[in-house]
Amino acid sequence: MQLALTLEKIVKRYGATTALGPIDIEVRQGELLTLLGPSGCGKTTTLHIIAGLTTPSEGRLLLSGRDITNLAPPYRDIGLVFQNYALFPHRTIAENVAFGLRMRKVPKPEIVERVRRILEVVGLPNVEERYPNQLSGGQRQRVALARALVIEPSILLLDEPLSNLDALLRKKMRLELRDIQQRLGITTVFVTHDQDEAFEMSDRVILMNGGHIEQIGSPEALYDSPQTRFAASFIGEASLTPCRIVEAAGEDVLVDVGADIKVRAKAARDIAGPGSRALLMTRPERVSLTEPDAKGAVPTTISKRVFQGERILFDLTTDGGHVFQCSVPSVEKHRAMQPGLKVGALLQECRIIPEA
Amino acid sequence: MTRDNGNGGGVFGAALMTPIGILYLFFLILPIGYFLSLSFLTYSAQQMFVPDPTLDNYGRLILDGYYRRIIFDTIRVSLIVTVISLVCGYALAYFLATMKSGLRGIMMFLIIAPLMTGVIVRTYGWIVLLGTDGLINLLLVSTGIVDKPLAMLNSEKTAIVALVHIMLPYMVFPIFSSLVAQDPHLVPAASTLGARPFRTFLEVTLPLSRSGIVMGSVIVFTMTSGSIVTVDLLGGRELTVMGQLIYQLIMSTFNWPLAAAVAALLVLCQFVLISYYFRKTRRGY
Repeated sequence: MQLALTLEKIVKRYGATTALGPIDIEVRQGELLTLLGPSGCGKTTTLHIIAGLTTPSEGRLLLSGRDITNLAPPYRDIGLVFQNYALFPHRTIAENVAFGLRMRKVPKPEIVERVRRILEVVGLPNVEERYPNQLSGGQRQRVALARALVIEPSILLLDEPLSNLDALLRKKMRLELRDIQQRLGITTVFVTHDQDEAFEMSDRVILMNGGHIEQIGSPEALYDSPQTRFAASFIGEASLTPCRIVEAAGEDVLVDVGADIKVRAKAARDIAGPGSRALLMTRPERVSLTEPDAKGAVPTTISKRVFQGERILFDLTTDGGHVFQCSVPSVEKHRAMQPGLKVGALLQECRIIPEA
Repeated sequence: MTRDNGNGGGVFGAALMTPIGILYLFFLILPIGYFLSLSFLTYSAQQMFVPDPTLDNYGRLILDGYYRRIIFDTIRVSLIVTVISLVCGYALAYFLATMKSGLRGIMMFLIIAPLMTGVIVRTYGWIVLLGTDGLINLLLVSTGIVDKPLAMLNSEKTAIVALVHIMLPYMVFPIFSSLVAQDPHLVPAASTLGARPFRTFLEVTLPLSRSGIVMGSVIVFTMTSGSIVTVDLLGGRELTVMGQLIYQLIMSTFNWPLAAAVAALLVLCQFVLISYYFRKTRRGY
């Protein structure tokens, strides 16, 4: 796999506090890599280090094998789309998009042609002569994208580009952005705190927390097998129940969640042997309901019921006081179930996560 | 984008304008109108003016070389002061805008502090500094750089230096506001697109601070062209401006009709230059 960009042991310190790292990231040619995490996790700092707007305290940055750690932004060949778009308010759309080409001394007729073409790619023809404040949020977003793309950078960086759009437009733009990225085959690093965006758009996701990397993987891998407590609770809905490992054979483990309830689960790497404590992760949609005394089911009582329209969310409490969330389709059988009812919970595709 | 005026916004707006409107009418427009109307009356040594309509006052200002020189000097010096204040003020404002906020507060205070004393006090400050036995001459003579004290007072250059010093805050603050109001992401955006720092300044920062430049220059130009005391105390015989002329005509010569004509001409000059400037610098977005 060819690498477009490599971050080697990048560290960013502000005074005595380490804001980021050390982190290692490899961006593959043509992929859309997402940096996902809560605010303050270091994802934007990482992006600014790649763009050259922030200088790392330590580490190296390689763009197609070339060391660009100390190269100033104008010489980096990187396109960046800002969260607030940062369009030049005193310039028309055409002038905004042409800016990077002018700085590169591209001949005028070619500039005109390339601006026209890229505005078509982002789906914004006929706005050349307007000013940014005459466009809607979605249109400005496209202009910002066009302005970054028109210089044909080796890497496109997107800093929460959808967060200023309303919910409906955001969903539409996600798919469109992904579509443009794939059509142009441009290597992209995308920063977001929104896991839905990360899931829908990315080839790979890097989950960050507190300035370090929690986990790297495909969206599916991150959802299915979180490796840490943070990963499990940040991504998707999860019930985390303390448990004790009874048997461990490779990935497959048997755990005891107390009150003599035993559950089979798959373990993440680095799980300690039998007798040690761990966390049992269940996803609400992977818990199904059955008779309280059914084989393999955990006997529970419904303690809470939330009607969500197409689904119903139950809190299932065991005699030991553990709570499993359970999300089931909103069909008649489930609608009739009310708090207080005793049910059996079938826990499927459970995961064991280290306690720390 | 549409502007929402709301229902009855016009009436409400008019109501808000009433108090200041009345104040302006009785204490500004009427007295100034009365005074300016004197410029069309005939001067009389005995009665100050007699109600014979005439354009002689204006004719004299335009035809007499002495007055023409004063009008020309006023505009020239005001333009010079405005340009120097703009260059120095922009640098200072830029410096302030890029500064950390703690230090910035102290700097702002230092810039505002002179405004707390009067123009006369500040002008005397320059006399103390530049006089024959002033601080600078004392230093120059005692260190042997010059044999006898330099005559720095009573020259046009000194008046210009002092005027720039007095006007600087009025230039700095509008520009400073227009700089800090800019989206801080624009400069990094330009740099990732390939613009080097100076180019970014020319293409982004400078054009976007236009409103501050325009406001600052207009304030400084207007105030300088109307200044009296500073030029009077520091300009000596070399420089006379219209403000001084009006003062002399009213207080010593008692030729109010001519004074009114000078005042009218001064306002007209300011108005014409400022509206031309506004037109030239109107933003297109």
